[in-house]
Amino acid sequence: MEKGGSVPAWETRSQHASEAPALNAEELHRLRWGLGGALALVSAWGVFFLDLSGTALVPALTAIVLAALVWPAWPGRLPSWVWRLVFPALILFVAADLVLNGEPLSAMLRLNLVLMLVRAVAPRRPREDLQLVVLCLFLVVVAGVLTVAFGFVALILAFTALALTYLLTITLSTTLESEPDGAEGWTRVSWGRLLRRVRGAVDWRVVAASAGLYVLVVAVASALFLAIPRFQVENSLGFLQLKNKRSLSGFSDVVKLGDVTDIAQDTTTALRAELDDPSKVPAAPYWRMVALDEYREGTFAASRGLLRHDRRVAEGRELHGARAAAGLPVWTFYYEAGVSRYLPLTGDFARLRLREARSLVLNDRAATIALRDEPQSMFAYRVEGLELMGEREDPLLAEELRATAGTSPQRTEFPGTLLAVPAGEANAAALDGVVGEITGGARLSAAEFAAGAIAWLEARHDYSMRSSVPPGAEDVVVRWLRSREPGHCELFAGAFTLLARRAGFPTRVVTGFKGGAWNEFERYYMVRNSDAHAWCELYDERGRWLRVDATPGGAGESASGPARTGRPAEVDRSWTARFDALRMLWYRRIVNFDRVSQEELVDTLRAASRRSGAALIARIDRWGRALRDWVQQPWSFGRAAQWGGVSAACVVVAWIAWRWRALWWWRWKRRHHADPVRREAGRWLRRLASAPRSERVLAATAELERLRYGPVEGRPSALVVFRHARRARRRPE
Amino acid sequence: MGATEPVRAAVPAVADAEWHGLGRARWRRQWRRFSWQELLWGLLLPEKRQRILPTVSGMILLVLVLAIGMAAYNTGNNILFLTLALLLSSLVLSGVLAWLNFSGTEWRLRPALPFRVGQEAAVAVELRSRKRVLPTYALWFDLETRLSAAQTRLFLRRRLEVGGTDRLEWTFRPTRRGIETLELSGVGSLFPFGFLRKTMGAKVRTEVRVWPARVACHFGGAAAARFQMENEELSKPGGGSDLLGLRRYRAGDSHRHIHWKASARLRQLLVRQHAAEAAMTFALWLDSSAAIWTRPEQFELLCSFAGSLAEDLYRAGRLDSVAVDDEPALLVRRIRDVDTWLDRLAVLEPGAPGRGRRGPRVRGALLTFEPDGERGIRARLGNEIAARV
Repeated sequence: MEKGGSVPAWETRSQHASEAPALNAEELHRLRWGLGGALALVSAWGVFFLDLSGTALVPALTAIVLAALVWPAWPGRLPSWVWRLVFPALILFVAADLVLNGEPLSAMLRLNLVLMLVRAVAPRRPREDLQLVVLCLFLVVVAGVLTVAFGFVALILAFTALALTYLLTITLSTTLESEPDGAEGWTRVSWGRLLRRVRGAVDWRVVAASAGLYVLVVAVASALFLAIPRFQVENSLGFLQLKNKRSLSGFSDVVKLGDVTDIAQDTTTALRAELDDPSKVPAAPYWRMVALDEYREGTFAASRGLLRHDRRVAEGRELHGARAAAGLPVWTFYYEAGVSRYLPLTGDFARLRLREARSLVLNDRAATIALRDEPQSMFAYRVEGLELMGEREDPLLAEELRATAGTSPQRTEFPGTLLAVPAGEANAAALDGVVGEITGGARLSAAEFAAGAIAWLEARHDYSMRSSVPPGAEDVVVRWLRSREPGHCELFAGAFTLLARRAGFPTRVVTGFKGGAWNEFERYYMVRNSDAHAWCELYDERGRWLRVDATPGGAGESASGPARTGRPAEVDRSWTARFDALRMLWYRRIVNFDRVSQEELVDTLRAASRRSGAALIARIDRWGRALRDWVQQPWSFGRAAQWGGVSAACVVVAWIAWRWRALWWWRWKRRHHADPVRREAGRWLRRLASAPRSERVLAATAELERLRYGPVEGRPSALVVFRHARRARRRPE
Repeated sequence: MGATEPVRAAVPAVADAEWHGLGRARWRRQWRRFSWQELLWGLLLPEKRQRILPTVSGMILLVLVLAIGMAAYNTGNNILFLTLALLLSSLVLSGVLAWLNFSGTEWRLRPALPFRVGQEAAVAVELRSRKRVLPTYALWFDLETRLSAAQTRLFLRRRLEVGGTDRLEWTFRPTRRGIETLELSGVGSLFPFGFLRKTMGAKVRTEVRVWPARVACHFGGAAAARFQMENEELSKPGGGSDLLGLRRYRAGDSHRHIHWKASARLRQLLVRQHAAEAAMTFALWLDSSAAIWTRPEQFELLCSFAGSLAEDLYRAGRLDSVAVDDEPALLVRRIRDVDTWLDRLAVLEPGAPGRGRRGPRVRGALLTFEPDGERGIRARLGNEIAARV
């Protein structure tokens, strides 16, 4: 197209101050393709690392998507009937998955993976690009919701960066150039060439600005996360419960000898517990979970009679206990998935608050609290006024025992199970013999018997994670009792239970965790699965359950008095603890953030602003007083001259700085923006802006604009242009 | 004469167009006269064409935000709240980037004159970036014309570098004579993520005159010669009746001037060319009285005829002056005078009937125009018909 005669030649084509090469349509398309594939891979790998179901598909998806990234031409070469078959095949796939596995959510996740694969591999237009983004987002969000894992942070941040870049590339490739529909030229662009072109096209300032904007996005998202008003609708989405995690058998209603020891081989963190007042932290608390009253052939279990006392509590967020909350510490627990449905607690409490509304199962006789369904992701709860004492009142049991005192107790029915020992003369004789050694024929109180029994066991058996029981006809625990073999906590607890029952004390086995490592970085207890433990509870003559830990090394805590507080038994300052502290931050600040936390945050901010305001006022007040004192000091000539001189010098320096500010600015700009011709042209343009619009002025303006904004190559002589501008300013007509 | 080519390529483009847009100068101006009332009213009643509408992907994003928000409140799940916050902050980022993209970018309209009915006219949108860090991407410009009712959307398909300039062009064919209003009605973009279609009213408008269409007309030189012979007394020998040579016969030439012998020899009609035919100058006088020109299409043809005839005569160096109705005659000395005549014709409307209107007192022979039947027009030189369309 021919331009108008007076349009300067330099304006007849696109002019750029810095001619950085721009990506063409094919390169943008290839970049788009690569980003889409990368987005799909990141989302799929997120599923893989978050340990969701459907992970078997991920390697296949990865291989196919990588093949499509390296050789992008082959999906387009597939015959069209293949793509037409995709939809019916997907329907068949979902139907088969539902029939075979019967889990709708898992089937949905797998369907999402397959759809993502199809979208990542099939030729895409902007509409399909958008579908891919939505599918990936759905997968990432569902993975995060189901797992509440710390890795979700990295996943969502990577996803956000990739998705925004992807969307930007889509916009640019569809707007900057026309879409190369049907053309496959972009498939011939090699990755090496594309990367070189991208490196050449992207300015470092753009990269820095993009990084800054990304940080801005994260900052704004964090602020929004804190500021979004929280109110609870009290209705959870039932389908978002993926049943892929099973509880550890050591923390269930039935525990075989060795189950708890098996758990202790695992060093992953099972529970994180923090206390609002770290000075009250117990040294080695017993996190009580399951109470088992029935014993049969090496297996402890909760009897049917005990389970009949299970009481279901409707779905809710709060549960009130027997204690008063005033002045008592508040514990917050972060309980990992796949451990147990029984909640670890140290004793009675005033109030228990759940992070999300759940159905609970209470058993007052066993003093346990369990979730109705096993948690499939981290589960947080807060307990106010948690008791750390090793004893618990149970007057009801005393009444029941008195009621059955005169009759022959049914040893298979609760509470008779609390006194049941293995049947058989040999077992009875063996137990009687040991009990006799412990008591010496005297009648001992429960506490005295416990101390004696522990001493007898420690004298005869060492502690070991690996134990062997000699063969024989008697019960397995009785055989171990009579041997001198070392044993683990379950054997010690089982042996003590049988001895105590034989001595006439109702006794039960309790499993849970003992102690844990104190994380110094975030100040909380890290309770690992390796802290799994079994101990006993002995019912004394005053109607109380006493905690008795018969395992060697636990004797110090066997007393029913208050736990030692203020100094944890084990402090962890390792890198593992540092990383675990990050996870704790994630749980504490993100996952467990609720309305109460929001109110606390507002209170904290309010208090901080008040404090800083008061400090500022106090400081100003101090300055004012100091100034007043200074002024009120007696003035002599020397003092006045001294301060007058200083003031005058300050004024002179300030004036000089102000007077020559332009010079300094000019020198700074000269160093940093060195093109005096452009600057001078800009000055002349400003001067001519107020001149009347005549031909001469317009011509001079065009020349100056050429100098000011045009490329350096081939520009006219600056001196001549400035001379024209000067002339035009003096005589516009 | 009779060629349909324009006299010259173009007259100077409109050079005094101001830069518009969201450059620093505009921000400074707005900052100086900032008022909260104006800002609030601007939010309630945005300027014309200033709107932000979600695209399909934007609608999907909004639906996603709603769904995730509902799920978040339904479950109290902070992962969903976190996702919701990220989606919302992406929207905020989208707005910030869009603002950065518009900001510092300036534009102006540069029509390449002349505009003429039936001929391609070019309008350029010139862009410049006053930014220092980020280039400008993916803008579009809505252009429209009022008189010709044409419109288009120009896309900035290259990126506009920092401190760079660019030029987008549009060509169209004006359909009507008159004053054409060219308007850059809106500037929009989908940048950066394609969620929102952001359009801002550009309010850049310029007016240009659209000259009447060019028509093919033949000016009869023989009639001029006859007119001169009948009306002028030559002061010296070798005047208007002198034979200069022979030329080809053109429609309208008198048969009396055909040189039969030479025509027979060369087997084509040749006529004698007299000196008067080449030396005579003319004055065009156009009577726009509505009483004469009762048919609008005939009046349009009159304007085209008068413009084309003036151009042809000027090119032949035989146009002395032009005039409309009672207006003073315009002496034609330079090409700019012809442009002035065409500018006048561009806005000429049928005037009030002028009784006994006589042409201006001019030096050359006076060419007048009169209807030729229902549709045609003829140019009269005294009693001779000099040309007709």
